[in-house]
Amino acid sequence: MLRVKSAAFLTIALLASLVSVAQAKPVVALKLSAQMIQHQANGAEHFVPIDTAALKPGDEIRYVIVATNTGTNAAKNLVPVGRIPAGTAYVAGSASSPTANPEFSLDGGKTWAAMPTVKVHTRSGDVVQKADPATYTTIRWHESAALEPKASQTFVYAVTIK
Amino acid sequence: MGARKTKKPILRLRAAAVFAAALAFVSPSLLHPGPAGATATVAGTVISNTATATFSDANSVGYASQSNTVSLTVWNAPALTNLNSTAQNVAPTDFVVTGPFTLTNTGNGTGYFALTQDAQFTGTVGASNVTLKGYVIVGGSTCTTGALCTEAQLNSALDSGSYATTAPNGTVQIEAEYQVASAPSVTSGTIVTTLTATVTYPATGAATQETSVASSAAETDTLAPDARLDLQKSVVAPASSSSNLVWTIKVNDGGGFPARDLTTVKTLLGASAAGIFITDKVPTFSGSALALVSAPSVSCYSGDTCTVYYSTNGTSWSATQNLSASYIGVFVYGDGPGSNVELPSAPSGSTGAGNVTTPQITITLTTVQPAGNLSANSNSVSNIANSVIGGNKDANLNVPVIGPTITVGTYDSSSPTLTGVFNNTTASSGTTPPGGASNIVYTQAYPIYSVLNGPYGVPGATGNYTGGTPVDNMHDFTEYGFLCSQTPTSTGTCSATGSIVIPMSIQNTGNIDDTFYPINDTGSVSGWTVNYYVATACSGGGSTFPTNCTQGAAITSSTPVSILSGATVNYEAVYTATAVSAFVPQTWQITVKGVSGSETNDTYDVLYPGGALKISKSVAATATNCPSVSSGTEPANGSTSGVCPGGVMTYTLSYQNLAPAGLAPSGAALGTEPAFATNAVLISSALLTEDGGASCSSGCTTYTNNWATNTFGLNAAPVDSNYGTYTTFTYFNGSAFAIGTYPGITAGYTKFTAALNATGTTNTGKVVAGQSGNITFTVTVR
Repeated sequence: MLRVKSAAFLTIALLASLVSVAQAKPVVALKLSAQMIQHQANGAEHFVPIDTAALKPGDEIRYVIVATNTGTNAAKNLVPVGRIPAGTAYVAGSASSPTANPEFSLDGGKTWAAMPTVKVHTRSGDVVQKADPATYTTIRWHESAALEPKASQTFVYAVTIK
Repeated sequence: MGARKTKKPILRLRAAAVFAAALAFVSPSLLHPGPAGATATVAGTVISNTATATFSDANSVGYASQSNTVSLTVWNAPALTNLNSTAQNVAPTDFVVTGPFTLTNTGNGTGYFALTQDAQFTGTVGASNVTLKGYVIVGGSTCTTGALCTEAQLNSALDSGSYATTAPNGTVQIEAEYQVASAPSVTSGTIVTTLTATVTYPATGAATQETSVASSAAETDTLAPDARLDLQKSVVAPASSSSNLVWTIKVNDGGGFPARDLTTVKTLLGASAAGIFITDKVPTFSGSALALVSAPSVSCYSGDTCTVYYSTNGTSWSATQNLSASYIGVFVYGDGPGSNVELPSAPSGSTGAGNVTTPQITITLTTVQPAGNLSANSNSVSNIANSVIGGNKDANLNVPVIGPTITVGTYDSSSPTLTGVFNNTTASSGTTPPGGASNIVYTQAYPIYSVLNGPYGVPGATGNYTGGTPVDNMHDFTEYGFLCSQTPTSTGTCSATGSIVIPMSIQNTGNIDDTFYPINDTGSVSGWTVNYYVATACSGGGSTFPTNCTQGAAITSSTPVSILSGATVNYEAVYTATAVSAFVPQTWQITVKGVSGSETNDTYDVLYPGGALKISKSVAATATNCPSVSSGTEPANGSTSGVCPGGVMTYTLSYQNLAPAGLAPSGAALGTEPAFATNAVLISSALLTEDGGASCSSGCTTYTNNWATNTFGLNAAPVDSNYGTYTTFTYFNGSAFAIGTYPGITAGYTKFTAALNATGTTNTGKVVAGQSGNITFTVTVR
């Protein structure tokens, strides 16, 4: 009887523990949105909703990733990843985050670097040089600070419609 | 088709045919290739994006999350670039092909091009000077006529076949052709051709409506004058009578295009003569070409070859030297700066005929001076180099570049229209040349001043008023006797009745026109005055003293008379004589002076106051027939105071030509004096009338001529001391004279006329100057 009770207790405790653990984990919700960038004559940029009937090559799109910790525990080592969709090109220098620096990939996320390089064949041999930002395929940030529950962090980058 | 060119429609047709043939082997895709390199995202493309994230909890348990997906659709974005190449120079009448204008579909879909309107012409030349001819698609289709398309035809072609679905980055090249007016209102400026086109994407896929965009491009052409051979001719006036004339012709293509060879030249110099021919009529004087001293020299354009040609008629030419040629030409040939181009455009070297500052070719020819009358007059020789034959900028057109008003194949001209400086304003059109004549230049011979002054009609007479042998034309003379208004005596004075007019002549024997005036080099003579006047319409001359001249303007040093080179002007010296010494000849030295050259020549007027013939009469009893008396003195033979009936009286009529004998030369001494110059004192038609019954005539104070009353009349025919017995008398009854001796006769003729015949020839009544004689006749007292 005691053994039954103990077992039941343990089971309940385990379940409780499991529930407690599940409820304590961080949960990061990602919301992606896009805006049209309008360059003003004075150099300022306005971000307006996209006119879906007028998007055309050359237009600049601003992607905004908002990461929100909807869990109860802090999310550590948050690494949001954004894509440079086919038909677009990354706008150099457009990536921003309040606390994190971006990294870029030329191969869909296999390799990353803050400033990717490519090897170029020349008559004098191979030369390593900075890659054209327009060739970036993926962007990520390493958020060093934990994202506390209910906290949000925003990550922004822009692309141009080819 | 990248190279700019201008061409006539016929060439366009030919080119179009070639392109049409080539088109059969060319894929349309090559004409307007599809995407290449960076290509815009095709319309309808959906761009999706999803973000992801990884993170961990405090236990380093990793987690991942994914965002929503954002999808965007790329819509039609037609884009067009419209480009053309460099500008070009164009000329009046040119058919100008502009472009090619390259239309590129730089958008993200397939579409078709179209012109929004006809090509627009702006610029300083103005649209009014330009005419749009049409369009072609380079390397593509042409219009149904095979010629240029209208805008509508072009747009129709662009919206059909493969052109209607020109892919992104696909291109179409269009040329627009216009023609410049033959005589535009401006000679230079810009012509801007603007072509505006659209690319249109049809409604397809996500694009729900057709969209298009326009783009413009412009070509700025420059209107420039056609090839134009400017010539400047000059000549240096001779420094002396022995120097030659040096003529220089400077040649430069002052137009905006190179001057080329011309087919016409080949007809003159031979089929192989491809070049420019510059000809010049050798300057002429009095209808004859001035002889060339040597072969003309030519400073040829670098890279060209210049050959001198000669012609005597302007149609047949030879390179064989002929210094008597009437025409010279310089054949310019060689590639010069390019094939079939003899002279490049050098507009900075000249601005037109007569204004060549930097010649490309310099021709120098040397001729003798003109000679003869008028040759030294200013501009006596005029000349232009106006026969320049060459092609204009377009070898295909074969438009000649020669002087205006000059027909191809002719050279220089004496046309009266060729005066002044030509303006090279004639536009090139067909066979009408755009210019090329030189200025007209003038020169003349070195001046030689010379004058002759002499008797009327014979200004160069070689007489000698001193009676000596004539040696020059400085001593010729005119002698003239005149009557005094009063009965002159050998010691009295004489006043001429009215003026004494001596016509004379001046001839300008120099080679240049001048003005002249006579002066009296004798100095002042008491009782005499002399003035000079132009004399015209004189009667006589030659053997008859000229009279009845129409007196013209006075000639003085301040109002000299103008006489053309070689011409003669008659003038008269008008003398007045008041109380001058009778029977004393007055010799006047009349010197004519030229104003410009100070040339002079003398003649002499010798005037005889009182008439030329002096007569006197005397009588003596050759046989008094008086009886002897015892006392006193009875008239003896030879008595001049008494005679008895039956006595014979001899009358002697003495005559003398008062002119000094030396002033009436004859024969070789006469020189080339006209007859009248000495006839003035060679008494002619001198009739002596002896009227025994005459009353006193005018001027007599008494008359005692009554010998006929108391004699039986003439005993015999009168006898002239120079001629002898007259055989021809005029007796007043007209009958033969009955010769008899008292008392055998009862009556004889009492009067007669006898023509003095001192010359001893015939009864012409002549008495040479200085000669004297007498006529004697006898009568018997009743």
